[in-house]
Amino acid sequence: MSSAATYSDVRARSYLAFWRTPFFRAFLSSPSGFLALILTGILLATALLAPLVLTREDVYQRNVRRRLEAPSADHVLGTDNLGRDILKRTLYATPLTLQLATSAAGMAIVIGFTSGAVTAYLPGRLRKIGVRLIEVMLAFPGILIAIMLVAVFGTSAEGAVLAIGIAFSPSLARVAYTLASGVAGLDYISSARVLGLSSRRIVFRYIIPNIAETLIVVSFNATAAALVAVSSLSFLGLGVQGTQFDWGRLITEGVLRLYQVPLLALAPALAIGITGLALGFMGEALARGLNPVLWTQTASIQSRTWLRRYFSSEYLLLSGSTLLLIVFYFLPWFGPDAADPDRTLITGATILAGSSNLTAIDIGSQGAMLLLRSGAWIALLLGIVSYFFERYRRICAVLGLICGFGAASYFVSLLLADFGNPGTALASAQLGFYFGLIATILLILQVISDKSAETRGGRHAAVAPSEGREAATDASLPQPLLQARGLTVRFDLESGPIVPVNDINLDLAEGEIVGVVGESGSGKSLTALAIAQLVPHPGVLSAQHVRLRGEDITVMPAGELRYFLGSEMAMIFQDPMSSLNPALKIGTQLTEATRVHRRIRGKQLHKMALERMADVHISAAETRLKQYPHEFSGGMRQRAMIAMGLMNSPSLIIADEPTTALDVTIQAQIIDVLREINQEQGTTIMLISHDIGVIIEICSRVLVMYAGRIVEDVKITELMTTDKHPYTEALIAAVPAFDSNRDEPLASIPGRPPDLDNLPAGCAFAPRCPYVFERCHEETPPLLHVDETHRIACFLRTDPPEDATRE
Amino acid sequence: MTSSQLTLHKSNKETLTWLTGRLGPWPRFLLKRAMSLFVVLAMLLVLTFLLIYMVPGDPAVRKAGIDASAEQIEFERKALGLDQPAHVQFIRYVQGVARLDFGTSFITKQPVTEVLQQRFPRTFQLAGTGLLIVMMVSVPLGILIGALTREGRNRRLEVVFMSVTSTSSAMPEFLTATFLAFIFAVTLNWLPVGTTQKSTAIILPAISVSLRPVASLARVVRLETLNVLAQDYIRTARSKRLPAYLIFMRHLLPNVLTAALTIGGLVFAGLLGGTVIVENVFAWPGLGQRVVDAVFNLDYPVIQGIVLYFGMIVVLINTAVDILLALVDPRTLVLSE
Amino acid sequence: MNKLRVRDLVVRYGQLTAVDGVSFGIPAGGTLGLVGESGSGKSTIARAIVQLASVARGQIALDEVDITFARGADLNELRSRIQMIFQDPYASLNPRLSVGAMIDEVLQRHRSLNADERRQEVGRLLEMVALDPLFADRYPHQFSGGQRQRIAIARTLASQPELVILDEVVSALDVSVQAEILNLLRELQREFQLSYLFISHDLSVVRYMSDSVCVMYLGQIVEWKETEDLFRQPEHPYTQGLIDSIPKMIVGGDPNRIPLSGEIPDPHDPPPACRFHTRCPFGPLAHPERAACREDDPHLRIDKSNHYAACHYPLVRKELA
Repeated sequence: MSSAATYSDVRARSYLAFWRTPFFRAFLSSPSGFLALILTGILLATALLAPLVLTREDVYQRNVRRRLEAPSADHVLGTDNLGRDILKRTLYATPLTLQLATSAAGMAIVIGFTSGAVTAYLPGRLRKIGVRLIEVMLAFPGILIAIMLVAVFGTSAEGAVLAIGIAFSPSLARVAYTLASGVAGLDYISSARVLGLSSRRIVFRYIIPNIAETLIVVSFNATAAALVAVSSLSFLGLGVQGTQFDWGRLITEGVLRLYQVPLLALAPALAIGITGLALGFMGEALARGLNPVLWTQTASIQSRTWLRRYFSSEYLLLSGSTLLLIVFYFLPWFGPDAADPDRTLITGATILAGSSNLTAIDIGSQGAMLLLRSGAWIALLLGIVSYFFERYRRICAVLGLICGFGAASYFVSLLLADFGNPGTALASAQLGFYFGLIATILLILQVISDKSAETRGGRHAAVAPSEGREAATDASLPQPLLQARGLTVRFDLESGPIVPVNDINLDLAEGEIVGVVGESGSGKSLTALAIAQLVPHPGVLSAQHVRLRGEDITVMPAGELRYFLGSEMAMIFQDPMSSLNPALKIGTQLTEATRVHRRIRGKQLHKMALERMADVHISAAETRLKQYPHEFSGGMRQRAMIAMGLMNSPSLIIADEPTTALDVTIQAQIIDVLREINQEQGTTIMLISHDIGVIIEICSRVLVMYAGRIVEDVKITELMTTDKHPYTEALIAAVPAFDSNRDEPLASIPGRPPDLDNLPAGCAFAPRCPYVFERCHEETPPLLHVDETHRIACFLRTDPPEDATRE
Repeated sequence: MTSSQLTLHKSNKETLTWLTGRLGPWPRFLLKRAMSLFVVLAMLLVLTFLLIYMVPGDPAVRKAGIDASAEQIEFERKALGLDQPAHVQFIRYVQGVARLDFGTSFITKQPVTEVLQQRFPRTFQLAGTGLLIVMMVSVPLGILIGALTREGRNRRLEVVFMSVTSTSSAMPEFLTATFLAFIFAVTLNWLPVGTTQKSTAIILPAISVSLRPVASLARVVRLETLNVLAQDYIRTARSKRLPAYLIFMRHLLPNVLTAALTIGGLVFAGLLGGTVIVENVFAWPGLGQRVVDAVFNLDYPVIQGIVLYFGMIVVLINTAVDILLALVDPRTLVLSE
Repeated sequence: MNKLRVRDLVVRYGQLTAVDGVSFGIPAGGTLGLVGESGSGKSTIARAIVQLASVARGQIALDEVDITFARGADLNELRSRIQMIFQDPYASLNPRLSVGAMIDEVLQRHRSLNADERRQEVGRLLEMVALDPLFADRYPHQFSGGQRQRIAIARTLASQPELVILDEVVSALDVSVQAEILNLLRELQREFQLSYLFISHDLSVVRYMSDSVCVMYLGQIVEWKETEDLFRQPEHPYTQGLIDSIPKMIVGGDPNRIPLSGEIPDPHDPPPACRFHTRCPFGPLAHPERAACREDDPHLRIDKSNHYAACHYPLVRKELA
């Protein structure tokens, strides 16, 4: 009972400060959370403070003498046609705009979510009508319905809110309906009902938490959409009336004077854009915060890592250069002299520097601006390159640093030089240039040397272990159909590299059926894909060679490989439904590869297809070929898959769990078909299965895989008689056999298969092995021959210790 | 419900099952579509008809003018048929619509049909060009980005794509329109605004109206591309060593296009909504501009007519999309049962 | 005495009759196995017993008390006595609840314990299914399939049930894990005198777990026998076919087996009379004189050894050889 007490202790300790809760960590796990927090903070502060700080006079007092002014120290964004401050008016409109948007969205959310959820629980016919109604409403452009409803409710702020609340509810109703009807059928809801939990608990602890993420994202998006819609209505003059104004109305005023004072329209437009972004980010980040999967993932991330993530070189380069470009290209448009943006900039710089010596600017300023601008563009380029190509990130960072350093020193020197002495400026620019040049050369040298060291080390490590044994295996099987040596698949994941297929050596003789057996995660399917050269991203395949009919397919040119494998190798997959294209007729899918690779067409091709269908015992093949996969039953589909594989008379068929998705009776039929094909056409089959029973029934030899390695390679006839790998032994014992004693517990394998990212040292099976001894934890046992046809990777069998023989 | 009603109801249902059972999948599908089209159109008529009841104030007063005499108002009431019981009014309304007679504007005294004839071509021109842009841009873009970011490749490209599209789909049409007008018309002076005379005049309105749908459709197409690429049948096609163009054209594209088509109807509805706003920014003389005027003046026949017209177009397009889908994807015929 | 008795159960989903007149009993402390191909109606029976599917006709009795249409307080009491574990361990646990909270709410519902006792009980239950009590703070996504199934078992035990319905509980698991879960279930059965309804498509697992076995085909039971007898002397050709379909660790396959042809017909439109006659290797397909299979419904027949088989021409093993 002591351990139960520990659990209560843990509970007691789990009260954390808000910013350390899993919710908040997950919330901040992406930059958008950070942005959402800042933007929302600014918005809320503006909404609360604007009416307090700004007086009505600030925003309503007309001053016709100062109308339509450009930005100045008095009016940071300029003035409107009545001489009122644009910035102040934009800020002042914040609370009203937000209020309208949130109340419209709130209404739409309440109406939509309730009607959707209610519809989901209506009885049959009513439910159909409800769904239909929602669909019909959805077909109409929301804004048009809103406009129509404004006519009903009257053109006012309240009317606009009501209209949008109603017009936007169908789309939310649809979401709620889909979620509610989807979640009701889930297993965990069923299990909660069976457990006798109250409806209230099921709703609040099972349904709502599981759809909350989507609801939150949808609600925030709806609020953003409502903001846009309210502003649109105000913009059209159908929303806020009289002396009141929101952002939409400000834009209406601005659009009329777009040519004179662009900021009049652009300032409120930007405000809408930023608010929309903030709402989108907030919804996304809140949803992330509620996801328990992220709680555990982010628990290990230190705040320092976050800092590094946000302020890494590529982000700095990108944001810095963007900022510079905005300053250089965008801001001058709003300056007093749109025709001469440079002058605006330099004026700004002068004001910043506190100097009033405006006469001196012109000297040398042309060249200075040119340099600064090109510097910003280069920085942007470097940012983009380093963002997308990790390989060049470091060099870009340093180059960017040099750029920034150069630009800054130039700018400073310009200011310091009292604007009268271009020589000083030039000197400092030259200094920056040489400094950059030297740094660049050094850096390139370093990167080159790094890279060559990496490649040398990497190749060495991968190849070494298998070399020694190659000669022995080659001698035993003189002409195998397929020979793979050192087959390895490696995934470089964020959490570190894993090697799910590790140094596999195998031979398949002509006409064999070889089974590959192992638990999930043992790498058996990936081995098959690796042999077929179809390793999924980001897996990297390496091998000394993979020879099919003596040709090394790892070095074959792509075009040749396609033809060669297309006619020599076929694959059959687990799920026959999803493995066939639902939109294509069976006939098309059966024949397309033959058409491409062997250029057979027309009658001859059709005849071939009929023959292959007969091979797998599909009757009425003529009609069947014209049907679509959904018209086939599960067993028929798998037969069709096999027929498809047979079309080009391949010498090797790789069947990856071909019967797992099927019923036992169908499984038996498919196994018979495979056996027949092997016997009649001599096709070699590599059969991958987790079910050793299936393999014993049909195969002549079995490869047992564990944690990415072959641990045993043995003839089926010897499987029951000779000493085996302890894992093979356990695997066979764990199957409830038909003649076993039902009163005894089943033999099981204690423990779990190891995680590939955390393999134990030595033999991967050692932690679960009943015969384990010291050496097993120290070295990985190699796959060695114990007799001519039997290979085992176990010290107990290949090199038994003195005392182990007693067992 | 009495028992005779019940049996009648039942036999009706049986007749229908019998009837549909005898037909092939195509006629059965078309029959069902036609029936649902009929239902939706009926709902549309009812909704627009009810508009006149929902609006505040007396339409007859509206039509006659504020300073009209009681007789004048009574006359207008008769002329509008408002003295009749509701169902008679509704029948007259439906008859009118069937004759393509949507009534006369209160303000301009112009028949609404004429307004539609004058204005709709401009709106259609704008929405059509918009749709063309949407399809031409978002489908290739979505597929391209989808292919580049499959199986978690190019994570950063994905981030860029997602942030650009989410920003653009949060961008209101009038905002886009204002920005575009400012940059291309005001600052650069490349393109004209506020006119329909020049052929280039449609460029800015069409781009403004299509930016949001482009972004949202491109996201859908990308997701669908990822989805299709992760399907087992693509792996099967690769295991058959089909050349890339065949995998793309035969296995990827049709399945992606099906998904794009499915929401194509919604996209078009969104586009039509966008035109209302954009027409007002660019002074584009379409229905959008007219409907706003009508709402200002509470010119009900015009509002009614325009909303009904838009609705019918959307419904017809959705039906067309459904039929197109059934042509492209054989499963649709079965699944719609 | 039977813990659970089902009489003439019929369950319909719209036009489809998923379970068509099924009767069986589960002895107290015993296990009844239910096997059949997908679409045979096994899971529907389970769902009907726990009232997740509505019964069209028939009777379900727990300890001889009719519970078919139990509502309100009766249903609540029933919920603690009959429990069910589902097939997919990834879908049957609420991803938003920690393991501790998940078990705790069942304790709150069915047991009168205070918060401290409940905490202790959560730890005890987890230990009972061989999990670390500290796992109570973790969420389902942090566990493997086998561990999740253990959590589901612990949660089920929290209500102290008498009958547990196990619906394909090991078919999503690897063999080695499967063996552990099966052993655990048997241990728990002995310890708490649990009755099991064990549903699986895998005959070898059913054989290991059950005292007697019902074989289902298209919504009907075709054979019901003591486990050893069923496997030694199946009387219904379908049972024989199922047994023959299983790989039996015989190199090259069992040469004497008689394979079943074809696939399970569309349950919306089942064949008339004996539903199996379209696939039966001993029926009218092979023996045209056996017309009864096409014409008469073979009802479950009881012979002297308490053995049920719904077949006009039941097999005798000797005949086959």
